[in-house]
Amino acid sequence: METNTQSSELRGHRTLATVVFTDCVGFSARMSRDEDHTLDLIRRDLKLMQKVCEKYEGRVLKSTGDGLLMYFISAIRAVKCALEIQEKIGEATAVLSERDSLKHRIGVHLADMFITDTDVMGNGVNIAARLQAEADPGGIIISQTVYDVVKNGLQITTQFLGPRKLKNIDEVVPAYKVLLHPEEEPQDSLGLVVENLQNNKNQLRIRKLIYYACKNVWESDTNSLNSLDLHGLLQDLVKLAPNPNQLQNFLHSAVKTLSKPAEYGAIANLILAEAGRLYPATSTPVELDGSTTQVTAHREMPHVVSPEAETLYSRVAQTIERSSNLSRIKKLCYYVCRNKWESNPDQLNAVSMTTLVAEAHHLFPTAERLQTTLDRFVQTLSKSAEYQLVANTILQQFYPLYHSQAEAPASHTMQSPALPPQEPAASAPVEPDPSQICREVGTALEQEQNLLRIKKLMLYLCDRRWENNASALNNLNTESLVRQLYQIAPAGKQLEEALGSVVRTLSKPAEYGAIAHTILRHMTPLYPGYELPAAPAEAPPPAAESSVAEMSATQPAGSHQTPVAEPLFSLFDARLDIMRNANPLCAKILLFSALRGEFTFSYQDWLNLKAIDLDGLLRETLNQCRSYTDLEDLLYRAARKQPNPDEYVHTATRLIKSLRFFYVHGSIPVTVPPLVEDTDITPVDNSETRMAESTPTALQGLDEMTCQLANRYSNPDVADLSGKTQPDVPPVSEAIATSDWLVSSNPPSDPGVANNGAE
Amino acid sequence: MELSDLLLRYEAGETNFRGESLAGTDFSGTDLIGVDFQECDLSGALFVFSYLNRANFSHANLTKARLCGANLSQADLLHTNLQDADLHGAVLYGADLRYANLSLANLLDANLISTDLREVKLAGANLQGACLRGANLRFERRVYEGADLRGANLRNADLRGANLSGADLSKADLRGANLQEANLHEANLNSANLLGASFRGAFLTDARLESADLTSADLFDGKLQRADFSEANLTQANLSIANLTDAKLSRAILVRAKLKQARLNRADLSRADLRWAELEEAMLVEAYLGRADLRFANLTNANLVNAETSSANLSGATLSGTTMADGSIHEG
Repeated sequence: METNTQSSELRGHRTLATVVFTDCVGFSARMSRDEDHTLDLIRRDLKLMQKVCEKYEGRVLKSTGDGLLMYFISAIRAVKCALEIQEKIGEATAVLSERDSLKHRIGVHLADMFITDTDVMGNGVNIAARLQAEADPGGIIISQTVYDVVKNGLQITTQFLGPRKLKNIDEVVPAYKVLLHPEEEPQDSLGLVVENLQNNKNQLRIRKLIYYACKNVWESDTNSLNSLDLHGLLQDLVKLAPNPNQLQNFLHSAVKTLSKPAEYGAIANLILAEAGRLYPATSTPVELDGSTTQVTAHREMPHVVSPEAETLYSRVAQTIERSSNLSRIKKLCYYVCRNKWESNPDQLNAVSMTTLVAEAHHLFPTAERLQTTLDRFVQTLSKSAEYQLVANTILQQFYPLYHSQAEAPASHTMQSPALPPQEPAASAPVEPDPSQICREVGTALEQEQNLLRIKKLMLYLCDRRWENNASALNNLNTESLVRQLYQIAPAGKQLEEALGSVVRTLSKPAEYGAIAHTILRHMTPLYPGYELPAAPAEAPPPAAESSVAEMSATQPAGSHQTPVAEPLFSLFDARLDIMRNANPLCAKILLFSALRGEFTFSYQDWLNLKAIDLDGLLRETLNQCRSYTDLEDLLYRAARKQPNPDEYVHTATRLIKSLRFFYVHGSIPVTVPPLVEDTDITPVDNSETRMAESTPTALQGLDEMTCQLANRYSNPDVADLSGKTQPDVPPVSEAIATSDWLVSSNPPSDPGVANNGAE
Repeated sequence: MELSDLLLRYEAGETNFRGESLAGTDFSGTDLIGVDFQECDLSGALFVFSYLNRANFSHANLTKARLCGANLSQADLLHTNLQDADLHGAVLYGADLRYANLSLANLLDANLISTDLREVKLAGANLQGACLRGANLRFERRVYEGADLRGANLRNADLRGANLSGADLSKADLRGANLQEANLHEANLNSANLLGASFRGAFLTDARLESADLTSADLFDGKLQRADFSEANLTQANLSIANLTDAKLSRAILVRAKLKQARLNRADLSRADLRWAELEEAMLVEAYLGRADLRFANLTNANLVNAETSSANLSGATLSGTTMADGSIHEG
């Protein structure tokens, strides 16, 4: 290039100089697409730069192909030159199409360096080059040194970017961004906000909260928090909440989900006060005083909703309410919005579906966020596979909310609404292809000899309804069932898991395992790329033997790993309940005398009592008493034999109460109020609220219990409320059969049993 | 002082019996709620099933006293000497036991819910089946030393949510104990027996677990950053989703351990035995796997970027979708 041939009387010497380094944005990518044209463009721009450079008495030392290295005696001139280059190129490209314009980054640094005819060397040049890389396309970055020199001699607006760690440069270089246009002012306020937030002593918590609000992930690792780009996060935050009020609601609803709402409420207010600057002056005043009242009210009035949005909400709510799966949908919505698993139907009925829809929409302004949150919450449930389908249904039903936003510029200017991933599935029946397959699958299924059972299972999966009436089943259209199923389970794996988890809850898992497999096999054509589970694939299994094998093969693994069995049954919880309400020693003496005969307070008896712990005595009792009446009988009889029966009858009553759940429901609910309190204890500064613990049992929610379902998965709450009146509830004696299963299948405590036995 | 005399005075409304010498007295079954026994000598005294709620035993000597089934809820037991005392099935709910000496005491099935146990000495004590939910045993710099639980028996004890940071639990027996969500930050669990204990969601950051036996322990979702598991036995332990960033696992036995989605970034796994370990989707970025035995381990979709694997034994390991040390993704 001609620029390289510039001659000079300088033969190489050290000097203090200002270097300007330019670089073209995405040059190689452009080159690879259209080489000739890009070369023309870069030649044009470099020529312009060279001209400007000469105007400011600078010297082009060399060209890097897509940029220039310029050298100036005066720092002011160097910055002026950089400004003019960007302005000129900006003006020129404003009228040109994107194809005909290039963007350049510029870095300016002042340092002592070694200059020869055609090159300049030294650390300073490297810094200029690295600074350039930090600049925005079409932007300029200057170092602190340059800034200090030019700040008084030049009218420029700058934004402090803070000390920057540059690649391969040991020291950190404080840098400034030169603002070319006054309208970049808000950008400047962003920098200010970032700076202020960073200097706050609570900056770690601020980062945590902002990150949590934006990404819905609680990050507590200090290193990764510090490496977060606060700039970007704040920009995201502003995008998510386009006005200060929304930001306020948004942050406070995030805070609500944390275990330290008070502390983080203060942090949220801090962020609000700072981030208020990011909004145009008209809407800036964020009234922090009013914040408390407004936030408490926000549940009822998520935000000022436009009438169009309101009708949309009620329309969505109506469609959901028509679904026979309403209770589950509502539960999950409630869970996601309020962060609480509510299985009490009264509580649920107290909240209208429209409110929940509005709340959910407010909390999750994009379909993407709704989806990730749903996924995350579903993971915490014990029936995740089944609730995954419910989540899919919710996403589908909510689709119009996010979709309409694209066309109708509603009050909120959200990020361009991401389409729900199952959008193809939702629209699938419209396309000829899957709909055709649905029909074929439907016809093929009609040929199956077990059609009734197939329909039963499919109906149950779609509608949560167990239909035993043959004629009602016959009237069902198989094809539409297939279509429904395909809609709620757009992936083969999902269908497989959902079927599997439903089948396990049925009283005839082996038979229905085979039915599930038949359904899966027929529906495989709908899922391209999905592979049918291999094991029983070859033999279409109407034969009971093969299906039994299949189920028993999966069962042992399941019993060890499924989250269902484990957190449910906990003697720890029963013990805690006993400890809270009775004297532990009285309880032990009562159990001991019930199991081993009278406790005489003799030295030998004391020794024997010390040899076994309460845990062991409880296990023995549970094993010995096969029914609830057995338990009552055993303990009351022992209590009456004590020297002071009144006290021991009280103890017996407490013990029976604490153990009652094992008999009635086959599980002890973790949802008993005092225990929920306990699960909220979060040590140290990890404020993430754990929901997994408090929920799984409640999730046993078979709001639709029928005699086809094995009782061990029954919902304690539902049964508790309506145990006597509901005819479908299995008699208690049946439930008892499962109690020994429970006692023996508690993996973590098993060693304990063994040890007690050995002593 | 005679017992009958004392009880008469208590009946008359007197509670202050400070500094009395009452060694060996039998108070069994008495109601002495709110009594003040500060600095009393009560060694060998009997309090079986006594009501001692909110009683004050600060600086008292209760060595070898029998307090089985006694109700000591919200009692003051600061600096109390309870060495070798029998607190079998006692209720100590909300009691203040700071600086108390309970070495070799029997606390079998005792209720220790929400007790203040900072700088307590429980070395060699029997806490089997005791309930310590919400108990505070934490170390506080320049104020409280960590609680001393060396060699204590904590089998089946319920320590859910208890704060044990900085506590010394070396050689303690914690088989089948419930330590869910407990805080064990910087705790010393060297050579402790933790067979089948549940640490779900517990904090073990910077804890020391050298040579501890964690066979079949449940550490699901545990916060185990920088914890030292050198030579620990973690056979069949569940470490799924646990955070083991910078943890030290050298020479640890992790045979058949579940490490699904565990974070093991920069962890030291040198000479660790990871045969048949389930490491699906585990993060092992920059992990040190010098001479680690990963035979038949399942590393499906795991990430080993920049991990030191040159001397690791990976024969028979499942590597489908695994990101290898050089950043390449293993096919098949």
